[in-house]
Amino acid sequence: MVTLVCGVRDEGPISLLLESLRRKGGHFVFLDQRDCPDNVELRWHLSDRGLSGHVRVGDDVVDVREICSVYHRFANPEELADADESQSAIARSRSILHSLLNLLDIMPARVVNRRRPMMSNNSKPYQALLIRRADLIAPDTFITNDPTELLDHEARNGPLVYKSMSAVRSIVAAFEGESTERLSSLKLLPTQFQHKIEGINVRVHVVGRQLFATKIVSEAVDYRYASLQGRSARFTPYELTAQLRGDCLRLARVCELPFAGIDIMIASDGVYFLEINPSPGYSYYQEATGQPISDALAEYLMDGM
Amino acid sequence: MEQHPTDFGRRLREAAENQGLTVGMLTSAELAHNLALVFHLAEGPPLLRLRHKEWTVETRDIEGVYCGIDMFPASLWEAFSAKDAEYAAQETQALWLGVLASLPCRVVNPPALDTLAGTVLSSPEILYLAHRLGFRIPTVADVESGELAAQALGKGVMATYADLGELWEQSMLRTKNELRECRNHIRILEKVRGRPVWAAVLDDQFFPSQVSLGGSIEPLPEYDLPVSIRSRLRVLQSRLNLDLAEYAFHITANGTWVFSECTRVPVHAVAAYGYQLLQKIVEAIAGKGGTSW
Repeated sequence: MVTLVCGVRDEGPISLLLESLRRKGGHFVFLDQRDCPDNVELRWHLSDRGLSGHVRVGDDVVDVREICSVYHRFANPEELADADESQSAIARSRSILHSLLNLLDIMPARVVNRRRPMMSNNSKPYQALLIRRADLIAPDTFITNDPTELLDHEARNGPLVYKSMSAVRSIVAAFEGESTERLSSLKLLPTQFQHKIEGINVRVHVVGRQLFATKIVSEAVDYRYASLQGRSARFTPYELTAQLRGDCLRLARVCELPFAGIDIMIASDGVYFLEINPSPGYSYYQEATGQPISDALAEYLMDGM
Repeated sequence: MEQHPTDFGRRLREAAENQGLTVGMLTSAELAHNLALVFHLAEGPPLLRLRHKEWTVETRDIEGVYCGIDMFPASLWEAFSAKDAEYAAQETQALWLGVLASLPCRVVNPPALDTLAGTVLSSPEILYLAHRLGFRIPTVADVESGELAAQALGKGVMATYADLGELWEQSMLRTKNELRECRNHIRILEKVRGRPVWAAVLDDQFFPSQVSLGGSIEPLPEYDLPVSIRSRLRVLQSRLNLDLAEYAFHITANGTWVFSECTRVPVHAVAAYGYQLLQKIVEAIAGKGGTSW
C-alpha cells in the first residue's frame, strides 16, 4: 500500500511532508507537478466491475487499488508554467490534472482533502454559515453595495474591517472613513465588512484528531502581510482549552476537512471563528514554532494504510 | 434566478402566477448590476434585503427560489479589466452561495459549493456513485494519449472522446486522425446501445418518460419504472442533495437499465408532462423547506 503525494517539490508544505514521510519510513510516491507533461501518465477505468488502472510517475507505476492515501496541493498549471513552456505542454499538464482530480474524487482512499469540501473556501459567507452550523460564533458579517447602508451599519456597530468573500486572497484592512469617491465605488461590487475584533490571533491546524495551535502577535490588521506594512509578527505555540479543542475538531468535521487551518480570534467577549483554510500553508507556522505538523500529517496519511 | 431567460423559466413563472404567486425573475446580469443589496449574518437569523427597480424584498418575503444559475461569468463585468472582472465574478459567486444557503425558504435546487444551481458531478463521479448504488453503468476510461484512444475507436468501441486538456470537458474529437494528433489525456465514455428513457424526480415523485413511436417525448407508464430503479434513484437524489433532477437510462435488448447521466433541468419530463409537472415544481418551490442556521 502506498501514499501518493502530489504538488510542487520546493513548496514548503510539500517538502516538509516528504521529509517526514521519509523519516517515518512511509511508503510513498511523489508526483511533482512540474514534471507532469513528460513524466506522469494515468490510465484508469471505471465499469460495472469497479475502478482499476494505474498512475505512472517516472519509473514508478502504482496500481490505483494500492493507493491508500493521498495528499495533494496543486498549483494552477498556467501559473506554474515557465515562460518558455509551450501551450501544448500546459494543455497536457492540464489534462493530467483533470484526470487525476477526477480519479481522486472517486478513489476509495484517505484523500487529504477531498476536492468538494475544499470548495467551501471559495465563499467566506458560506463558511460563516458552516461555523454557525457547528454551534460556533463567526464575526458579525455585513455585505452590501449601498454606501448609505454601510455608513448606517458602521455608525450603529462600531469599527469594521473589510475582506474578500471568495478564495481570492486579499489583505484584510480596516474601514476608516473612506473617501466619498472610494465609497461610491462600492456600488460596483458588494463588499464584505466584519466587526473589527480585538483579541488574540490563533491559527489552529487540525490533522485528523491532532491539533497544533499557534498564537500570533502583530500590530498589523492582517498578520500575514505584516512585513509589507513595516510591522512584525511573532509566532508561539499556544495551549488550547479542552473546550476549544473540541470546537475545532467539530468544525473540521462539519466542513469535512480532516486537515484544516482554522483562524480564530480569542476576544474578551468570546471566541470568534474567522475562516477555515482547506489547504493550509502549515510550513510557515511549523518553521516559526517547531510544531511537528508535517509529522502528524505523515502519520495521518500512513494510518490510511 | 436564471443565467438568461429560458423557456423553462418562463413557463415556470406562468405556472406560478397561475397559482396566484408573485414572481420576481432575476438574470445573472441583473443580480450583478441592478440590485441594491444588504446581506447580514449576525447572531439572529440571516437577513437579506434586495432593492430592484420599484420593489424591495427581505428574507421573510421570499417563499421559495428556483435557481438555474451555475456560475457568474467574468464577461458580466465588461467595464472591468480582465483581472478585476474575474475577481468580481468570484466575489459574486461567493456572495450568492452564502445568500442561497442561508435562506429559510425552499431553494430548488439547494446550492452546491461549485454551482449555485445544485450539484453537478463529473462523469466519473456520477457513474461511480451510481455504481455504488447498484446501477449498471457504462465504462468510462481515461488514457494517456490520443493514440491509445484512436486504437479504441479503431476497434469499433462506440464512445464519446473528450480532450481533458480543454478547459471544459467536451466530446469534440470524432475521427481517428483528430485523436491521434492529440497529446493530452483523453476520456472515453462508452455509448450504451438501447432504448433511451428518462426519470425525473421531484422530491418523492417520479415522472418517467420515453420516446414515442412518432418520435415525440411521452410519459412512460409508471409501472414500467422498476421498483429497484425508483428506490436507488431516491438514494442517489438524496446523496446529490437535489430536489429536482432528471436521470437518463438506456434499456438494453435484454431489459437491463443502464444509468447514463443526471441533469438538473428535467427537459424530457417537461416535454412529456407539460403544465402538470410545472405546477408540481412550483408547489415544491413554494412549499416548506430550506435550512435553519
